[in-house]
Amino acid sequence: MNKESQDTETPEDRLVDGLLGLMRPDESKRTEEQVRCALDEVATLREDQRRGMRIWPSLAGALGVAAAVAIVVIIFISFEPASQNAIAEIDRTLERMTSTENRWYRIEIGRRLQKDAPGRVLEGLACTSKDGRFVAFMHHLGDQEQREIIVGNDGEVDWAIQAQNRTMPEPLLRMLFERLRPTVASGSVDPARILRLVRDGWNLERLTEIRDGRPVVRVEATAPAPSRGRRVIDHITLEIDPDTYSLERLEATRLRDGIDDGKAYLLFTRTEESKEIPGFSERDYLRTDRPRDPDPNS
Amino acid sequence: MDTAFEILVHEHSAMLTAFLRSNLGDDSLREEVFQQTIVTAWKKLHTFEPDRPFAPWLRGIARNHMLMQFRTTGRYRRRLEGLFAQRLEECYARFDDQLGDTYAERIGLLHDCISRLPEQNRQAVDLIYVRDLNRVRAAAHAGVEVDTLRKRLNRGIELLASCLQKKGVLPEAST
Repeated sequence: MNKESQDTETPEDRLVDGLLGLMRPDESKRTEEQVRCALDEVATLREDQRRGMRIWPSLAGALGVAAAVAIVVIIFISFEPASQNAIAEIDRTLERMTSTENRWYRIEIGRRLQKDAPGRVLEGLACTSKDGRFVAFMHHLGDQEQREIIVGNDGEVDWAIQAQNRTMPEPLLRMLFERLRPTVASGSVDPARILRLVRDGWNLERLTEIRDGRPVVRVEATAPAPSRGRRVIDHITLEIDPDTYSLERLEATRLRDGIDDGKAYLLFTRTEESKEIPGFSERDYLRTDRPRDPDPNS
Repeated sequence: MDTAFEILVHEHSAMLTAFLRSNLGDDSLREEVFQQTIVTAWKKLHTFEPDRPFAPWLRGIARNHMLMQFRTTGRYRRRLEGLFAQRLEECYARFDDQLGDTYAERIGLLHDCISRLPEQNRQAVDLIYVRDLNRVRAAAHAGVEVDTLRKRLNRGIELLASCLQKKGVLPEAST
């Protein structure tokens, strides 16, 4: 709605618009889905409250013992060679990611009420650039209008634009990253950032597998403390090509009592596919400045 | 209490959806504020007075969330503050009091008004809301310019508001 029509509208018009919106063909289904999501969040908060109430009394008595154990565990982790190997693997992967050619990934971000249940899923293509920038072209699966959201990072600052190449308004941008934050823990879907996040302080385990006759290095990263609260990703699996140190796959999930609850996930899979938009080149999205609204007079 | 809360949320979900649409133009924002409102309502349930209606309380929470989202910009603020917000609340409060167990039943009041609209305005309302077309596609379907469709739609909405006022569903315009 343009400014002029906003200025002349009345509260009565807005009420009518709100009521008419309920007549959209899939509106009751959408509302039902929103209610389920909201009540699911309430249920998680309630569960966390209950857990907190159960845990604290017993925790108080155990603190002295825990402190002693923690010292031993910290020493053990500090000298644990598998973890050091995993850190070295991540460092080399990061170094390659930011010094060789651009790499493209299929990206999928999902939030569901239950594992395998329908939910809100964003999918698209993402690119990491050799100068440390990142861009992801995504759309909501099942969105009737297929509106595309383009999020990126210029090396320091996150930015986002939505359909028709318009810069996303600040509140919407804040909300978008707020929505992504619980999903990927780092507040960004940039794989380089995620690698740095897990490298600094997550519990790491490095494994080598042979798959289709080729070695694959797998790094299992687990958040240092069990996730509490809402949809926090706390387990990330990285698959790295040991010959090229290319990140081939990144899967982030949330564990609940040690089991993937399937409610929030992020998946990167290496692809040769790249995004081509008529009139736009890769460089348009990988420039140093955050994109601005196009000049209407030009 | 938890089950009671879930029932209340289900009963008021259509109202909250309509109220958010009355204030915000963006689907994604509405979705976020909807979720925030329900979660905050649950957290603040101890402050709710059971002898008072739930709907205005829930709208108050939603309005606060929207104001927080737009505290740094002018976007949507006009609808959320001052006399405009007060009047919108009066309209919703009156609609809350209409006969019907659910919002879907009360929407029936609107159907009668829609059937009385002039053909061109009814078509615009139908294309945009019932068939859920965007304005470009709706204009193409109606064989008119987008601006013409917008005017027909805005006029249709005005006529619907006036029809609801005549039926007593909305309070008379304040002088």
